[in-house]
Amino acid sequence: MAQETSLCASRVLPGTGVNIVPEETSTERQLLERVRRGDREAYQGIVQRYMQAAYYIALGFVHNQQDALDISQDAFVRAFRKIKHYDPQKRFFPWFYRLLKNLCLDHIKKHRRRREIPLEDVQVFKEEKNNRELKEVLWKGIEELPFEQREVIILRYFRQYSYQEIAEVTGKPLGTVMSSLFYAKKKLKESLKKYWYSD
Amino acid sequence: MEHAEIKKLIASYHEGVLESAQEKAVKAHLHTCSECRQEFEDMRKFEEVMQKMALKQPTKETWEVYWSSVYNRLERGIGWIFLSIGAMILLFFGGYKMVEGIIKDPGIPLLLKVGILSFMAGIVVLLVSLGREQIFVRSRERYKEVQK
Repeated sequence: MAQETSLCASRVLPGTGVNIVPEETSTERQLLERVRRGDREAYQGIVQRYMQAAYYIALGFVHNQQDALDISQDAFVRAFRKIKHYDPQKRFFPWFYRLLKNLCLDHIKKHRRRREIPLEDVQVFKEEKNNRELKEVLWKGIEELPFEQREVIILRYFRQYSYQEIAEVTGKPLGTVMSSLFYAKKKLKESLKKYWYSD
Repeated sequence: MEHAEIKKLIASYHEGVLESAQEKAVKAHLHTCSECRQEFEDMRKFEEVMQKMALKQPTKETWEVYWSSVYNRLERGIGWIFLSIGAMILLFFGGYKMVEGIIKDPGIPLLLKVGILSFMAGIVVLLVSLGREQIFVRSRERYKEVQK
């Protein structure tokens, strides 16, 4: 049975040592209280806690390291400016994620005509020879998915989130997440089948 | 369970999230149905590929300077606000003084005065209109397609 975890649990991305979504602690809540009062130094703790998650999610959406860096940093700037709108009773990351996702969506709209995907900058295969053709098939398949399906694929496979975590971060019901993932996987599998059985 | 129904459950079966009765039904069906076996095998290969895929890690320095970049952006934002306020005050004051000078200067022909004042009035109206439009656009939901 696949283990479902919630955002309250801290887990590490296999092989990287990177925290998937860090556990929200009382220290973090205190920091957020200070940030709400305009304390920029306290915000450093929050940024350092979530910068890797923000960067990798943005990279999954925009496929460019520099753009992902800019967007994730802009999202933190925007979050600081809008911190009064954040409800301290709720978790910070799902609120922040919405800002980040909107910036990514904005970027995708602006660069819709950019055809070339710099795969070497974005995607690698662990433990295997660099298979460019397979990467292209997969990435093109991900690119062609509707936004909400691409989102669940990125969170599930690039960030290793559980269904429950995806539901919490995106604010969607668990059933919707499962169904989006089902259809996304179906489409991606079809793309891969053409590659596997093309000979 | 029917073949079509079982086929839909193969992904969940592979992830191991089915209830015990459903799991048994899918398992039994896979022994007899080659099409579903193939589907299961494709799903296994798909998951294998996806598990091996990862996003490239940036350099260590990226994380070291990350916060200072965010901090600089925050600071620059405040700088822009002050700069904009200052520019607006200067423009307003300069414009006011210019209009005053033109009106009071007896050496400037009336037609030229009307032309200059009309030109400046046009700029003011356009700036106000653009500003109002920006405020209106910002106040509207820009991301209707994004579910909150």
